[in-house]
Amino acid sequence: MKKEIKIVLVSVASLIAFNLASVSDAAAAAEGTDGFSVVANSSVAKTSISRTEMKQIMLANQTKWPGGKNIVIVALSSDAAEGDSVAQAYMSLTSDQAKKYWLTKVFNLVLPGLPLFGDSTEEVIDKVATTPGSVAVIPKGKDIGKTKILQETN
Amino acid sequence: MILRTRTLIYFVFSIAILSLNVGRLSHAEVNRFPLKVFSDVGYLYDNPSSTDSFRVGGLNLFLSSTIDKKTSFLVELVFQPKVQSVDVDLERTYAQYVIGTWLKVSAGLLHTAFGFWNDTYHHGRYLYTPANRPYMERMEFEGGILPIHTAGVELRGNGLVGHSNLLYALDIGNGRGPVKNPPSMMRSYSRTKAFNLLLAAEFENGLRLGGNAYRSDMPGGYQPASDGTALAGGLAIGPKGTEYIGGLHLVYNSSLFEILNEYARVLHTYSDGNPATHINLLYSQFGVHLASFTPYFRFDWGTLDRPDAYLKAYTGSLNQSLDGHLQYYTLGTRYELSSWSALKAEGTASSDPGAWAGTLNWSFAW
Repeated sequence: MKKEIKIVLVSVASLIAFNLASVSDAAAAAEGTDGFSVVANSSVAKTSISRTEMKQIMLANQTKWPGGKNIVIVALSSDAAEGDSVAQAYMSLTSDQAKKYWLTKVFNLVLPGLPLFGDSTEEVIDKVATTPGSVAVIPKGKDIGKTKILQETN
Repeated sequence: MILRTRTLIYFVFSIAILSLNVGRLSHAEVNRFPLKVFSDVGYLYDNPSSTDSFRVGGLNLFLSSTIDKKTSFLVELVFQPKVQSVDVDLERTYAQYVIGTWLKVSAGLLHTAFGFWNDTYHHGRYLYTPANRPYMERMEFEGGILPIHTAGVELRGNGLVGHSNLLYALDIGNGRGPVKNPPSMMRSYSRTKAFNLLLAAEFENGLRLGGNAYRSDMPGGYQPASDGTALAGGLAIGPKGTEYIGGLHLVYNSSLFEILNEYARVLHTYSDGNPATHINLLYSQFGVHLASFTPYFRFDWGTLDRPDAYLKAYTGSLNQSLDGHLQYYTLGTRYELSSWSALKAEGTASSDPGAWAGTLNWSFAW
């Protein structure tokens, strides 16, 4: 009987912890994706992208553009000032956690390789401009260089 | 230290593949080249069974390559230090053909798509938070109960439904052999192939729910010959029956919390007169990410209603360690030392009075 009680206690504790976690993370995510823009290489045919689709791309659940071309994620590294806020808004993770997340996807053949990383928004934009099929999330209001903006829809 | 000939062959083969591929890549691409080496070193105190010791972890080579737009392959080799030698384990090797996001066909030696942990993590300790795998996720060679590996074919896919990602994986493979370890890589001992079906839903907030069902024959058989084959000529020792495993998992990963819960129920039925057995396995892990620190707690639990003919015949330690009822309580913390390395300190107490172990581990990747 004691065993069952312990199992029930652990299960209840997990559920409570999960609920607390959801509340805390909802607060952290409340900032949302409003402060960011999605930029893509000029080879990407799309002109707009839904917020859900962009999140699924960042989570590596969608790895190809319509037409079959590989999506290359370009991400702000953990050294970049906005790296954590982008990863938080689109993946509910920190940039360091996102890196580990992507690595597990590489070694399950979900992604062909790690994303390209940039230590600043400017570096990210340069990589998107020169990498066919690439896409990135950057803070709003930055010079997008030779990349193009994908209008985010809800 | 004895390095076996095949160790050297594997090593040279891996380096040769790496060299060939790196030579074809631009500087920018080299940074993305999916070769990673994982390793770890540690210090272990195990009371009361042994003295405290420094310990060298395995050297894990992950190598994946995209052959063309639809075809990729992956190799995972583990160089595992033993007392007087280094063993080489081919942990995973498979090719994958992508028909679409909804269907990817893989063939080779894979990790069985059980629940979350075994479908996500492999041998690189750096990738998972604690120093040690949960009891129910132990490898076959570590005395683990579940069939962690499958040699065969896997169909896998995912699709977006609303704001969630639904995924499935169907493994069809050789299944259990007359011995639990190593997995049956070279032949099937039964006309009926083993299968495992995983279904899961992932949500944008980091929640994942899923379940799986597995079935394999336990074919009976013969004690392996010295060359590792388990064919006629040896001593018949294997019980004959069927293994069924059902599993559930509930996982939540976010920037603040890591909550992992997995449960598996194993049923062994025998057609040779041995009594059926039921095994329950569960772990529940809770971690909090606080800047560079992640303190965590894990509860491992297992029950076995009677000595199991299949597991007892081949892993005498299972029934001793599980002993009908097993509980581990693990408390530890992880510290992100640098971009690709982490320090971990954890202590594990078992339900046996006075039995506990402490682990310090430095795991890294490059």
